[in-house]
Amino acid sequence: MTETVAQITNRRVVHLAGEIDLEHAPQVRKVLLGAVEEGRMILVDMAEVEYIDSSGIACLIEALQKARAISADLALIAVNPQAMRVLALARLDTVFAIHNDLTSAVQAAS
Amino acid sequence: MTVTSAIYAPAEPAPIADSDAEILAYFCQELTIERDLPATLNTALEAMVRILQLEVAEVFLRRQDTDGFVLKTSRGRAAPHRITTRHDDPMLARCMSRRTFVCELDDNGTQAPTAYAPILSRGEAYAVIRLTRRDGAAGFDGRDLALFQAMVNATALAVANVQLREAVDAQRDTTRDLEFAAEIQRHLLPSVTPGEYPVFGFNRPIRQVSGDFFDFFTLPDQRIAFALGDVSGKGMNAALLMAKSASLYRCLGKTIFCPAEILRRLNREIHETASRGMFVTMVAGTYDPASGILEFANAGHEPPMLRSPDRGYESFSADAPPLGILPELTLETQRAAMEGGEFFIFSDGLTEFRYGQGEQLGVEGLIQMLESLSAMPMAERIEKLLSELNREGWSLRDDLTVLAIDDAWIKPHE
Repeated sequence: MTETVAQITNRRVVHLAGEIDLEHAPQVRKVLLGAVEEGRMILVDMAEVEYIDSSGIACLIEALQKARAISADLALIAVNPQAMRVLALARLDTVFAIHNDLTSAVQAAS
Repeated sequence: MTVTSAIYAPAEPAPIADSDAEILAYFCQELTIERDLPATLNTALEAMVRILQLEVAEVFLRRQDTDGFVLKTSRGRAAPHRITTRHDDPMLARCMSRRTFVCELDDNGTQAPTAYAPILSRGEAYAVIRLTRRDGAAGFDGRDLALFQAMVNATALAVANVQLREAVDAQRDTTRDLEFAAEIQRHLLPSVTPGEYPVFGFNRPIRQVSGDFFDFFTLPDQRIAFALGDVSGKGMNAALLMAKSASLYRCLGKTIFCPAEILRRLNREIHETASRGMFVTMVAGTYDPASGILEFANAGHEPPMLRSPDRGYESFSADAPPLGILPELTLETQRAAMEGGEFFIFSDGLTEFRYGQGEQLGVEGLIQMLESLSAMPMAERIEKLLSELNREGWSLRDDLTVLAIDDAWIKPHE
């Protein structure tokens, strides 16, 4: 599991990669909550997520709830088919804003 | 007397006489009888006071908030002016940072009225012992300091032993608590003899406690209420939310018979108190054995499957996200006629079972396994399926729970 955070003004792009599971959830949680504290718009790039379990999804939900509480936006971008299947199965596609890429996410926000 | 400080590093180790060996044997013997850390330290200090004829022997710990030290314990006849709350003796810091013996030498550079030694644990200084002779008494010579060194090393081993024993005791307490929690959890699940009821459930936690649950019970109108839930994550936090969700369901399910309404109510309750983004995927419903009609609602859970003798497998997707995420859920009750078929609800621990090079069993793999066992009665088939999954090289990654309803079930005595 790897993660990086890119900063552009108030926007934070968090790149997640690999297996986002119980073992890596504490690290993912820290990175996501850190990004929510720093940015007004948090985009989570999930193109390279090979596997995400409920612990990983809970991290995304906690970050989303925290973002909403401070009127910030959190969206998922470039969600690959495997991760999308998990999100769609649980109808979490109705909870998260999901965009194809960074450009469309930024356009949607503006 | 002017005092200079120096690191004590004798060119030649002081010889240990037979009498000294006896002294050390006595010292070590004293340490073996103590059961906790304060008693171990006090015993060590008392023995040092006797052996080295000290005014006082003290143990200092570094304060968490400042650079100073706090007196943990002392033995001997401490002069009143020594009992203070602040201990900023620079030799304490020097001893701890250098992780070695230090002492203050007198003007002649041969004897020390005060000596310091660190208690080391895994290479780190855990505490510092300070020994002080009476004013006017002879200072520590090389033999005294060699004895001091040997006694501190023995004390460090005794401290490490006590800490290890305390850690083992704490681990044992945790294990016992987990066993109690697991037993309470098992009692939250219904228990029926396989084949004695048209509904059958199975739960296997990946850890000691489970984040999954299932339940079923007969309603006053003879319909059967059933549910299966899967809390996000694993371990104790998932187990606690599982216990809450299962208890709420058992309570609400006896007075509210509309599956969608039960899930809406559960969602509100869980959303009010859930933390860290935790959520519960859940299917709840009722089954009427007289008509074979199923009514159920699905909040974010893996689609349950209906197997009909002539139509094969039909799955029913969730129409709302899991419980605990949104303040209100919009979802409807789904309806299906079983017509002698079977209904399976399972947690993703089943479909995410790994085998071979890490491939997941998946829904297709599950269907294949169920079909290969279709000649068996249902409860027996589920048990066989789970024992097949237990084979070598296959690995469970999550709690595994199955609930099955058999519309072709006939009471054993009929």
